[in-house]
Amino acid sequence: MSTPQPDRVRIRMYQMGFGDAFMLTFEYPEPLDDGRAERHMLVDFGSTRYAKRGFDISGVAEQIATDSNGELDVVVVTHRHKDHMSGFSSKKSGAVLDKLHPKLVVQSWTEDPQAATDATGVTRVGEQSLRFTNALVSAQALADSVHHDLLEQKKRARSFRGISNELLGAVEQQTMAVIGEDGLTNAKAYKRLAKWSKDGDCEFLCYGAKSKIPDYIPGITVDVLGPPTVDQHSEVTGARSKDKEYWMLHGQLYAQSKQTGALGAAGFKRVSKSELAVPAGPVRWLASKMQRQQINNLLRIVRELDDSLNNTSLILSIRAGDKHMLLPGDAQIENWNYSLHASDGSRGGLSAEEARELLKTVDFYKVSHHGSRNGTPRTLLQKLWGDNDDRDLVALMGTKKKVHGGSEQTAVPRETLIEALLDRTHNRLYSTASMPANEDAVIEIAAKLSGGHPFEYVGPDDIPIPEADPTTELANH
Amino acid sequence: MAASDYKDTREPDKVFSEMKIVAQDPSVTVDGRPLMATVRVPIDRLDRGPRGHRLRVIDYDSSSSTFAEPADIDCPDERFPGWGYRDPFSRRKLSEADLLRDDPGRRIRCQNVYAIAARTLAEFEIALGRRLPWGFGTHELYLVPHAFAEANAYYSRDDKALFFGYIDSADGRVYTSLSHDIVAHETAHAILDGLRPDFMKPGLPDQRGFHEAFADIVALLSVFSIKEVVEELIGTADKNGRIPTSLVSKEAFESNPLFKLASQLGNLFSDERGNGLRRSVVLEPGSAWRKDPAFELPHRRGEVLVAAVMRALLDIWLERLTPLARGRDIDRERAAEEGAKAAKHLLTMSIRAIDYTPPAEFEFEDFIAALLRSDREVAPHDTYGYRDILATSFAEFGIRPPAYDTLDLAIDKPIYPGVNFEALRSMTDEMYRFVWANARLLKVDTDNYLNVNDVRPSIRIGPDGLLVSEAVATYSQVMEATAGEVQALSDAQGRRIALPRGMDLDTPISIRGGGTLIFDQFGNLKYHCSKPLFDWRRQKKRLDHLYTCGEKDQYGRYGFSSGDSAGQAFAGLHVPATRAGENW
Repeated sequence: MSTPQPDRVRIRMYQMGFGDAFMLTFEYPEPLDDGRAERHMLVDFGSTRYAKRGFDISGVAEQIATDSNGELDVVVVTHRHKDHMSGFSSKKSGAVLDKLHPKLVVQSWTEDPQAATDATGVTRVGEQSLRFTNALVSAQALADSVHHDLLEQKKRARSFRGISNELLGAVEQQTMAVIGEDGLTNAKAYKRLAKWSKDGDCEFLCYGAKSKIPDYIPGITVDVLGPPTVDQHSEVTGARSKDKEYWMLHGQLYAQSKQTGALGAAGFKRVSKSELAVPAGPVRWLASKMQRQQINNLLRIVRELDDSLNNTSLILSIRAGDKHMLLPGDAQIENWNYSLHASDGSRGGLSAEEARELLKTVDFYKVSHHGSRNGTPRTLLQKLWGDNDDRDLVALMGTKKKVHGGSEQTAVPRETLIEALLDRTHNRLYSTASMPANEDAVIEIAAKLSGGHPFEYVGPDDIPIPEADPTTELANH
Repeated sequence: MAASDYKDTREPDKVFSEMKIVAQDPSVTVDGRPLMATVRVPIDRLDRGPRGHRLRVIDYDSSSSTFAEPADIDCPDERFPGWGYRDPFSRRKLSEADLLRDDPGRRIRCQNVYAIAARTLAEFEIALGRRLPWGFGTHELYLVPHAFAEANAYYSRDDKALFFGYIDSADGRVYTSLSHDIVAHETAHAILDGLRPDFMKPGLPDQRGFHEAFADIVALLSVFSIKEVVEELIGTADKNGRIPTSLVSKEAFESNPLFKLASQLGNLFSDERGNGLRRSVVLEPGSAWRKDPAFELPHRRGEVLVAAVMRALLDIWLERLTPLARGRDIDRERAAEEGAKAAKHLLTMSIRAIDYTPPAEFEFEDFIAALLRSDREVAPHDTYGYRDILATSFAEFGIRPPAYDTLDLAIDKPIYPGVNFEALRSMTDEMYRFVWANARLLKVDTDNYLNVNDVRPSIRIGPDGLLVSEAVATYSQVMEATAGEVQALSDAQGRRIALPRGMDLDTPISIRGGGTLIFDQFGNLKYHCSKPLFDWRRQKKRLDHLYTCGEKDQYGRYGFSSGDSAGQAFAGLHVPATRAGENW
């Protein structure tokens, strides 16, 4: 008997503020073995900043339950950031999802509990990759500590001497994104995912791995285009964070700085004990200037960690009928680079050349990393898609303005990227940031899977297209 | 009184002190010990730190917020307290553990940064024939050998300091202050900032790349110019002191640690830095880099220049070795000496060239032009063919001296009405008088900001053995307007530029220009390297670059400042190369 083929796909993006929650629904012409004629795949469910006050995340969970008709086939958690998984940790929304009995939980290789303890049980995760996953644990301990102190400081409502609020906000956001509401490692969310995995099935994927998703959603093809393991592509970790020792040292020094009051220079106290330990005169002048830069250094370090975690995002290419959907989580350049440039095919999966050919045919793109400056490589948007401008492309973006970005350069979403996306999609870029903040607001697009029909916009009625800067047009005419 | 009893008691006897330094970094070893070298440091009254009159080591760690009291130093000359430094490590064999431990490692690291920075500064002063100011206007540059726990080292103009970080890795602690390359590199940043402060302003992509490249070139050539190091690294000699000629071939050199950053740091800094050094001789010649977005990033772009210089060094060295190679082996000491000589000469040439570069709007072409032109002044005959080799090497990367829109001084004769030659050599106001009088000839725009930044005397020994005295002046031009106004102006001049796609017509932008004027010993203008304010091809290129990189300040203005926090301009210079050209 041939594999049943879906004939329509619906893609829903839920209003999560700054965060992602997507559901892909595949519809079949005939009922499948279990009598259902559809399959549902939830990709991420989290937020760090809701679209409005009083937003109830369990409302979205209820909506997901309704949209999936009470049964979830696949849950994909692209990476461990809160804005992609907080919905799994919340008690109320979690309980709603529990009732949907997810059958397969898909995560990145970095989340494999066995990888941390026993590398032998895991194929392709070698020593370097293991070192990296260990490093991530130490790194998160540091981020947690920094985050906690910042919140404390905020409570005391004192300004940080010599540091702009913008910068501080950026640090806070960086750390917020890293750690869950419930503490260090989104522990509750992980517990829930582990239970689903135990009751059902699970897999931890790296570049080139064969996914079980088609076992649960028949008739579709899944290619894992990221993340590579460290052994496949060492660049993926970012340059400096490969070693656990690095993060442990920072943890120790940070704790020490707090004791000596060194962070006093960053606002806790007027003159810190450590500053007084330095002779008055030029030495103290320099020491206090250096202390003031510590927060910059800390920010850089936390940002490195943030980037590292984004780069553990799964990049899934899903093909069904004549449609091709690309879901990259928050992947950044380092993760993309393996599929776009570095893979020679010898360490599993497609070579970069083959991957580029595959990527050219994308019809739907989930904008990576909420539209940040390094989520969507220029190679992808300008070269691979720009050169095939006649091919239809639709993009969805879950984002909220003025959450991230202390400066113009780090602003999310990034203006120049939005413009390029609008340009390439012929204004078929839909963003939650341009949508009314109703709890039940869902952006939906759908497409038939044969006959070359493009994706169609389904709703809501107010089409949420980000506004292009009106002066742009003027400047170019 | 017998002649032999005569002692001049007004001055210390020596002109230099000797200090032991780490030759490259602790991972480069000979017989299981880190390779050390003893270098000459210009004499100074030394205080604890060490601290001289231009450099001061301050051992403060901002990550642990601890301050380490400087160690006492031994200056045995009783007549001149502080002069005559006695290196406590001169006779001691040091192990890698010694370098990394607190005692005596801390002292070694302090001495290491001081000696390498002092030596680098001296190299510059000798080449240019004058004292060089720091970019921040005061006299002392602070050297901080254990600044923070980060795999980073940088120069901060705002803090008047060079910061050297350290990190822990699975293989143990690594100190950037123990790497010759890094200390020399950061010192060169500081010195270049003093010579060309506007190179840190938002400019063309080459400009920041040049800061990186120049610092790398200085670092590499400075390691290279220590003969003992070259000797050790070429290979083991036989009992006659000879080595196989195969060790001094192009192929052998390409994999020799001399031409790259030592592996210890190389691994930790993998993407951010050191690759310029590591890839320098293997980077394929050609102009492909101009179109490769990866080369938009300062340090990747800098690699091109480093490669051009290092390939030239390789060629010069190999050429000098040809007559020495008898049959299958070659005298190692002589081979090393030739390498060190060639490196030292190239280093001097590169430093001298800085005076001949424009003060703003720098492009790589300006460097080769400056190299050739400045060298012609002191060595008209170019006996060893250095200039030809350099010109060829740069041309292989598509970098050729530009046809400056300069004057043919034989035809376009500047006028000197009321200009006093003596004042012209020392006073910016007098120089401004000259520029004002010749504004049209020099194609200087007087409707916008125009300022003579500095006038410096430069003295060197000419080919005839006599002193050559020159005066070097730089001026800069700035126009601040909206993007729309700039576009309209270019239109009015018949060279309408297209603004970057998406740039608002009301966006404030700042465009720059400037030039370098060199006067001979009679006070006559002999060279004008000019970057006119209204060179619209260049201005468009710069604007596109700034816009693509999002290099704007907190008010959203382009070309004013880079928008970096105080002290952080160089801190983020070594961002991962993987991001190059893919960011928005």
